Amino acid sequence: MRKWLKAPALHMLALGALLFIITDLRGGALLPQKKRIEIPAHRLEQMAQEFIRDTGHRPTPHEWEQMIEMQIDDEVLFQYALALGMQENSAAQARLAQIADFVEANPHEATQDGKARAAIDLGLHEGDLVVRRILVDSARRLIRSVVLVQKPAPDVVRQFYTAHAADFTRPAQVRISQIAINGFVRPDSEEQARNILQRIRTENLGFEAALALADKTPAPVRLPMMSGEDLEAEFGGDFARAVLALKPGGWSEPIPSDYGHHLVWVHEVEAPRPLPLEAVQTEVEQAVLQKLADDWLKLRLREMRAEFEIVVPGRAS
Amino acid sequence: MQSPQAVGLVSRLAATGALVLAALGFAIGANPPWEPSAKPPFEITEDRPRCKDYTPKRRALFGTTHLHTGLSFDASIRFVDYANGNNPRGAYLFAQGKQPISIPEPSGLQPKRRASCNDPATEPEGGGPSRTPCIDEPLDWGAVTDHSEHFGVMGFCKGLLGKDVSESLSMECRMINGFFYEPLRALNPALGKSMASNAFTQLTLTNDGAISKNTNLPVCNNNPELCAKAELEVWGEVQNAAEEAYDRSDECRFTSFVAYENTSTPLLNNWHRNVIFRNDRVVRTPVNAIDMAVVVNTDPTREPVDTLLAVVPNEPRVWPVPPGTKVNHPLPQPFWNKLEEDCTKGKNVTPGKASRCDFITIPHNSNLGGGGNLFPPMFLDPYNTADAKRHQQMEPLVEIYQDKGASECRYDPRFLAGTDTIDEYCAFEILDGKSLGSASGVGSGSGSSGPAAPDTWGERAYVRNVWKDGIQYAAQKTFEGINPFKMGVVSASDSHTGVMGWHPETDQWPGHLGIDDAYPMSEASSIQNSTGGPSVVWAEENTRDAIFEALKRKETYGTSGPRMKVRFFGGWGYPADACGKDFVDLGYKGGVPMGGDLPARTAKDGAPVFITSAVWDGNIKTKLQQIQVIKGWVDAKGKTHERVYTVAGDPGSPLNPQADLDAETCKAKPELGRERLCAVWKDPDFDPRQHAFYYVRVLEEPVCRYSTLWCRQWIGVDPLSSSCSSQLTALQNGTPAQKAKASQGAMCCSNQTTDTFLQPVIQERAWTSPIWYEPAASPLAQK
Repeated sequence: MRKWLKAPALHMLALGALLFIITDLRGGALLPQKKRIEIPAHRLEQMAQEFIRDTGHRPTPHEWEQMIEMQIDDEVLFQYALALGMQENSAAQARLAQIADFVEANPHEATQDGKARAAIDLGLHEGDLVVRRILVDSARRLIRSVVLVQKPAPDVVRQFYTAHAADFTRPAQVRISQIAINGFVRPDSEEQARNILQRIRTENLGFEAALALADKTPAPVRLPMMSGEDLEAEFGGDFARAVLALKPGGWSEPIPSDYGHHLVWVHEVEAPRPLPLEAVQTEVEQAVLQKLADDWLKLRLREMRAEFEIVVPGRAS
Repeated sequence: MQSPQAVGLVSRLAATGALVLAALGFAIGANPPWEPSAKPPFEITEDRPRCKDYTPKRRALFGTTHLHTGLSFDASIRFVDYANGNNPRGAYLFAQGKQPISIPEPSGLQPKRRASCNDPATEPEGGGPSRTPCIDEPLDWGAVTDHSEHFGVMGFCKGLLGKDVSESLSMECRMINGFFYEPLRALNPALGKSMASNAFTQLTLTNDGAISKNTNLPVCNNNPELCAKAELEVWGEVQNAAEEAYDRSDECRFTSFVAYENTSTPLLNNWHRNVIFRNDRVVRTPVNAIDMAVVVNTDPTREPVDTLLAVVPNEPRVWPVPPGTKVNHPLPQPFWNKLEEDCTKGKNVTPGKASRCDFITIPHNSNLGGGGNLFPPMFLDPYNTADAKRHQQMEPLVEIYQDKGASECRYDPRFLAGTDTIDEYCAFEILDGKSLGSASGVGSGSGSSGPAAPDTWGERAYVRNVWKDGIQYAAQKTFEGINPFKMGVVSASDSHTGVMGWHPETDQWPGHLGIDDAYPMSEASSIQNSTGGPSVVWAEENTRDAIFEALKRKETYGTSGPRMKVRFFGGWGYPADACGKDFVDLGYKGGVPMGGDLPARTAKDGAPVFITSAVWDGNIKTKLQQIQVIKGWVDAKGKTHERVYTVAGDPGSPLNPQADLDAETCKAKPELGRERLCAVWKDPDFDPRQHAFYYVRVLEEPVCRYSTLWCRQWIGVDPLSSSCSSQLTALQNGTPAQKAKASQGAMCCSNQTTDTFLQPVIQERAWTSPIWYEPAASPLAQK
């Protein structure tokens, strides 16, 4: 009996039984079980190579960490899409059937469904970039769409508007008068403008007397408060940029425009100020929804990640 | 079939979502209150504030009337991906400079998306321009015009009806979703393009190509209810995207229009027309190419389409085409009639904020529209006076230029001859192909037999000739003095990549048709595609009503890309020194702007006087060479004529623009050109008895075409160099990587004298709508 107890075969049998019991307990959900996500080493290598090709340098530790985090997010979304059966959607099915053609003994006789199922059974979907992108994008859109199809409540919109006032601000405005030298009939309009400026300074001409020296053009001499965008629409971009840089009082140096050259007098400048909510309601609502959809996606990803054991080579899981 | 784990996930998602949304306090909100509006000089159909920069003198608003996204079948077959953000919403965000857009890489794979234009763009594998571009200058307004005939199929192929639709596995969906192409891994990557071309033909000829008993695609004929439902989903998405993009505040930053494209393609001839609605009241279902059938197909599962000949039935739907007429083409009349019934008369209109429905249709690419053989041109002879009126009423505009070439006129330097013209400046972006078959990558360009002579094109393939025919009809009183072809002009891109309003003449042009021309100089069929140009309206403000009225009154012009500002007025008494005055005020008060009819001539009036001005694109800064006035007229014998007058600036070298170019910088020599031009011009050859039209063409100094810059940057050969061919040959005999480059740039050494017409140096330009003169005070002539 003692000899029998010392037999190695019995020891192996006992060890096997113990392993079987432990495994069974795990499988029977008596012990907590997490599905495992492992980012393969070859994919990390591929990521690194792509990064170097795109940027010309190796990723910094921070950049590398961000890339891995994005990879994990994609993997979680991929698993989520599979769990929801998104591989059944038409684009994914067509792609799966296509890649199954390579392994089917007689692809012409197999049905689309059959080929797609065969592809999944063989795990081809795991390695196919196109299928992964279709599923990851679908999962991301599905999660975000829960928020995007809603209409945000007025108080949420108002809160967002208040917190992001700088994004909904009326740009700086300026009120000017201008002496135009008509470039349509004077090819040397810049030189002419400089001569007039010289004359104003030499003869110490008053404001109205100086205005009287202007050529006629389609542009008004005195303009109301206008933004840079308005000035650009009326006079062109170079003119708008130059005028917005001027300080009130005094005639400017010649400034080119669509009409010729101008001496500009800035009367007043109004600093940027927030636009009323009513004027930007749709824009704020869109921004709210985009922000909430992003937040919602982050929240869901955090929740879903907790359901997996995540293993990244070279990093603690 | 969902697993229990999936069900658990879904329930948790739904529960958590509901909690989060409840916590955030979502609810259905009310519309914002509208401010009281002023009374502008155009019909108001929308209750909205007037813009704070409203100007009675009108301003140039740059926009687009023709643009496709991944929601178009022929974009989708080229891997332009609706799901990857290339959709109407994406296009409108792109146009406003708010977001990049994703275009497939040459391999067919989608690019890495970037959320913002501030994020760095990455080059596609193998090099080339970014596939996630941003617009260089935001646009003022635009319309996405996806192909309407396949809205139903696109709906379920793209999953808009959910995933449990068995038809989503149909052959049609396989073609649309590009199942046939193995990105990167194909033994022969060119096969992908060729399969896409086959898909285009199959998806087009079967229903859009017939002339009678046209039908939908087979998958829709077998399940019409499903297609109708999917069509509504897609059409709804088009409307929603336009509504979201429209700025209804008094800031008026962007205006969008609900629109689509009618894709009538009989025998691959281009009879396409864009339909643009005035506001958010639109037809419930698009009226399209199937409605152009001569005879309605009542049982499409049994009745074959007719592609050769049909007899016009005695039915109101085809009015005013005479019953019994034998035709070998589809009919635009039932298309117009149904649009009028459904929209203008309100019989099938969506609810909305606006007071009524209104629309215009804009034909495009007459250069590919037939008329050079047995098939008639897209601008058909009217059947009678009622029909002539119908043409004038329904089509106030025509697209004169876009990615698939110029439709103004044709002069071919290889033959030193033109299509009813000797105007050498017509040698600009002319196509060697005569139908969509060659211009859309379906088949080759000119083929091996060399270029076709200008007289083998139908005269009406070109808009200037159509205008001449129009005044000829009016002069001969064929239709009681009606001019059926009194059309103004717009330009567009027709890009199928969602790049609304972007027309860069640089090495960054990514092609206009997804994978088909991702290497735009790789073969003859695609290299002739250019970058298109904006449609410009002179309008009081940036709103739908103001722009739509400008389109209807034809106060419009188009350019080949640059944003030049061009004015054109016609009258009888403008002062000779008007350019030194407020010529805009004088122009409106003393006459009519572009698109108008000269006021009735009185006994004291001499010849008509025109004021025209042009200002360069201040961002691109290519100077202007000249302003031309182009006149067409009909003599006493009924023969038409044309003449080109340079009225400001300097005449250039139309057939040798390279002479004025600095080949190193690829820009015009700096001493040439002006930033602005203006002229007051009196017609020296005026005969008050002759019907006439006048329009303006503004020419910039020469610059390199995008393709020249593209070849230099990405292929490493210089199209302007005398050793270009040697450079290309060296690549062809080099390493595998060099051989690949040589293939991608196979046509880089083409020019305006080679079998495939291609200008390495171009003169960008603008074309205005004409101003017409009618001597006979026919009461019908102005109707």
